[in-house]
Amino acid sequence: MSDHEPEDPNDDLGDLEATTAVLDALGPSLRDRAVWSEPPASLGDSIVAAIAAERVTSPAPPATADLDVQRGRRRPARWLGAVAAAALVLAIGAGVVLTREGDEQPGEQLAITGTDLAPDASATAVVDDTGAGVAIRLDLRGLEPAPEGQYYQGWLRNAEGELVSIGTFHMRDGDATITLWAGVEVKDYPTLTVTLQTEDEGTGSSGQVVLRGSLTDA
Amino acid sequence: MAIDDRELARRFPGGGDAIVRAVYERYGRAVYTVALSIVRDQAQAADVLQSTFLNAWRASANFDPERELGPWLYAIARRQAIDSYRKTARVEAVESERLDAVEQPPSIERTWEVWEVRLAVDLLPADERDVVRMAWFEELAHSEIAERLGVPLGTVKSRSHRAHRRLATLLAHVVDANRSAASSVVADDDRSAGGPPA
Repeated sequence: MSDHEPEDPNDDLGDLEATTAVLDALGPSLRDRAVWSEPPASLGDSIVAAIAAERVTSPAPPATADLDVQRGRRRPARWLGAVAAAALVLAIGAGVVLTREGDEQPGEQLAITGTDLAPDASATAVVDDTGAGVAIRLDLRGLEPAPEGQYYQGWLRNAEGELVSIGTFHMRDGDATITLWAGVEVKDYPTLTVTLQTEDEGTGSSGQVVLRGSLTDA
Repeated sequence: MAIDDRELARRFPGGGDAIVRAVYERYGRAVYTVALSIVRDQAQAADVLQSTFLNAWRASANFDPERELGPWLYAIARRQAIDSYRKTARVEAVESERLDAVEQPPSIERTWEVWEVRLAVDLLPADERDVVRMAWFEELAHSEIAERLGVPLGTVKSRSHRAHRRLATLLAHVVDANRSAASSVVADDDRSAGGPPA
């Protein structure tokens, strides 16, 4: 940026040089798309609504709350539960809340996001480690119905890339909440993916990942 | 009437819809900018913006209203964005079997700079902000901006000049802090020197 032209006759060379020096130093930021991008227009309303929903269950923020609530440390049980989860589902449209039966450990909120194959898709997952297995409830948004002859399949993946199928679905009635089941521990298989599969092409992953996210902070 | 930052900081803990909205109007775009500069995905950045405000509100009982609200929100936003970035990067690395290829997120100095630049840009009048955006982001010459806006070239030059002087005044401390940071480690949570918060 070198074509700044002073219009003010009171400007002196020092002012101009100082202005140019500051702005040139910040040029990378001034050229950064992030500086000029706008968040979704409705997001402010969603945030206000989500906080209002939390305010219903907890009129004032708990004094013990701190920034570590998102990092898996203990927080008051009243911050858990359906209302908070509902607020997040309402406003975020994506994320993961981990809960365990009989255990008030706080949840970790993680994004399950659409890939380039399904950029408008997102999901909120609630992981419930039951006595029979791990139930993974997915609240799915924006995922297109699977075409005839195709279906979606959920997978958990470990660090070595081994996959465990957790069920199939088709989404042909629009946005939906589904429950998938895993017989393996989420801590060992922390990565959730959803692939688009084609009938009669075998039971392995197609590799066409439409959603993915991590279920742990490990 | 606009609420000043100190009053916003005092009223934000446990604040109602109007205060939450006022804080969002003041800092939401800057939070989004920090998030996008790290995660580089608009949907993911929107999620980070959402979670930043939710977490800030939940944690606000511990917020000292004598501190500045903006840097506190910046610190939450950066942490949320980096968490999100690392999770996505880790998944992609696992799927591509390239665990060694996970890139580091931008430095704290870099994200603080875009935060400050965004706040300063948002303080410009709309007509001046448009000229700055076209000059820097779209890399248009003054004559091209004049044609785009349908205004005389002299008008563009005077708007550009006013805008850049304003920006330089608002952002001089950022350049100073960056120079200091280049020669010394910025202490955590040290805003007194004008550096980025932890």
